[in-house]
Amino acid sequence: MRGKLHPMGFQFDPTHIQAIGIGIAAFLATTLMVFVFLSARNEKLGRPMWLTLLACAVWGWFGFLYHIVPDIWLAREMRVISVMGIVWISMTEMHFATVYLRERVRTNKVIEAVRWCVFVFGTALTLLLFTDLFGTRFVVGNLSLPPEKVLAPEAGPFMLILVIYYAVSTALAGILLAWRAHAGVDRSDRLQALLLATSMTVGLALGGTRFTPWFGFDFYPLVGGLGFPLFSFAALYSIQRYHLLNVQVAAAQILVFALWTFTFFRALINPSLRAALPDIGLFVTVLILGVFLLRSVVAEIRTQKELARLAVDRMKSEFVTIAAHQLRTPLSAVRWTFSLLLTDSATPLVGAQREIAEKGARAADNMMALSNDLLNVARISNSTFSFELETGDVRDVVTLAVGLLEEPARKRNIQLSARLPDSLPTVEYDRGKLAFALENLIDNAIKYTPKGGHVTVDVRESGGNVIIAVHDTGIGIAPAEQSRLFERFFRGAEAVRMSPDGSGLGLFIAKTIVEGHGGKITISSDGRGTTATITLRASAPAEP
Amino acid sequence: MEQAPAQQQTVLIVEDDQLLSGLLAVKMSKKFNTLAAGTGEAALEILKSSTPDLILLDILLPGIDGFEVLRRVKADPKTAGIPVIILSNLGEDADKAKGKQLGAEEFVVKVTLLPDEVVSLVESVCARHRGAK
Repeated sequence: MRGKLHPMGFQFDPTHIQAIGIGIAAFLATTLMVFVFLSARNEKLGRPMWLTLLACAVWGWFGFLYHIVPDIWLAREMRVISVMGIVWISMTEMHFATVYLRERVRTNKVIEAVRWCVFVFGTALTLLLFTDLFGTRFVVGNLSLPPEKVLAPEAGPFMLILVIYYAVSTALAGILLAWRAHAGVDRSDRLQALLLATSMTVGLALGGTRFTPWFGFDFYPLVGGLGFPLFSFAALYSIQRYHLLNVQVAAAQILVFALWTFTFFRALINPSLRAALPDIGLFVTVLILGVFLLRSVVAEIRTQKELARLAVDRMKSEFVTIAAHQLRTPLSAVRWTFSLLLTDSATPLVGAQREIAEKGARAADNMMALSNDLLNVARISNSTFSFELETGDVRDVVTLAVGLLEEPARKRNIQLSARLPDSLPTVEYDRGKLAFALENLIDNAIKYTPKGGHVTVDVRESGGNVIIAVHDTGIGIAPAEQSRLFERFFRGAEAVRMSPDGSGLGLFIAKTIVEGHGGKITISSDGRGTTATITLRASAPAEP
Repeated sequence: MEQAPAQQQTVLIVEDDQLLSGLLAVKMSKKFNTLAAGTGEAALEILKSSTPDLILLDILLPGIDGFEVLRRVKADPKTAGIPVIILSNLGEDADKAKGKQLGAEEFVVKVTLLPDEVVSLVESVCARHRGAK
């Protein structure tokens, strides 16, 4: 029987050293998991990382409990759950490696298949281990052994499969991590990924010596203890690398976690439940207060970060505002000079002179549009982009915008037309701003439609909404780019090739304008053209 | 200052950038008499001796700014009736609101208009103003 392994009776034998070692590993894993969960659970690498650490914590805590619980049958159950944790470490590490690899490499079907194999086998082994909990002993065999042999229990018939699974999945994840290191964008990125790959793989491989006692060789006390510290190093490293950790938050978390652990074990070592009650009360109090403390520290840090970000945003937009205003005076002079040269009938320009002046005027017009866009973006960032709403008919706005763009369309030999219904409900709009948004959409349609194409603005009512759709027969938008169209400064690869002058701000501003009206803007493209749609809520029934 | 036939209306251009002021005067002189001032103080000085039919007013000026000029123009009964068009490269909503509140007829952003468009605007404001009288 293992009754003498109660924590109150610590002696220096290998079992106790293992208990302390695995307890420390469990503590580290849980602390790291709490760090990552609180600071970065929504980040791309944060999620697989905290899941991996959760699996490590399951392995560690149940491994620790296995050493300290007085009852042999309970100890066996602890061990089974701890081994389940090992299976989950294999699965989550594979997940982490794939996500990390996807940062730089487009993963193919083979990698996906391997990943799913690891998941399916892992799930099968987990189920098998569940049956072990009820005494089948398929994986973790018999534990009713004398204490000195407790590290080398009998292996169940499937233990070898589990060991192979662990070794193969660790090796596969190691290969993916090494591949990620190879695909790094620069030397430092490659080096960082290589460090992470090596420490995670070696750490888990050393941890694998935990299984050797099952087969008669006990390497674990010798090298296995190094495994988790190496793995922790890898986790900490990636946390630091991806700025998932804030020092102040970490300090608060360590403090709180140490308090939790201390009060938890104080409660655990009491000889009876009655004697433990005050300590249990203390533990619960510390638990609740700790959660509040952590939440407030995280909230405080977030507020500080947000304030700093807002201050930077403000400075940026002030800079843009000043720069754009300062640009406007010389730009006015350039535009007015070209205009005078081109319209002054007393000394008309001829041939190449006129051509050059026209190009100059167009360049100055583009620069004006850019400075206006920058100012609008700065206003949006400053929250000074306001709307003066009035009730009106969007047909006016469509006619105005189409009228303004007829000339550019004609020059590019594009047929621009508007289909207006006979009656339409009114909407609440800021006439100038809505016209600007619509001009942007029509201008894009004209720019990205080859000569001879069509651009049609279609206005209709549908389900209490007024819909303005701009269809073109242009180059379309690649599916991968469609989700990024409304980002600031984003320009599609084909769009840049066809019209190098755009700022990538027009659609961002148009979206802000339409959403400022409580409306919605969408762009869809099936490769044979594009449709940009503005949907506005109608404020009154149809007017003829 | 441009010389022009006596029956033409007179526009006071208040603009510190000499190139812009000159380019505008070239275009305006075909239809209006023009007076030019490079500072707000100079504009107020001109208004003591002349009564233009319209003022084209920049905001960012050395010395007193265009808003202050506008405030003084509207505060003086002798000049309060002269329509003022603000022609500035400021164009924030707050600037426009302030201009309107101080009594400007129009607030236009210089860089977005070409000289011919400024002339058309001046003509339409003058016509509107004559009609109102």
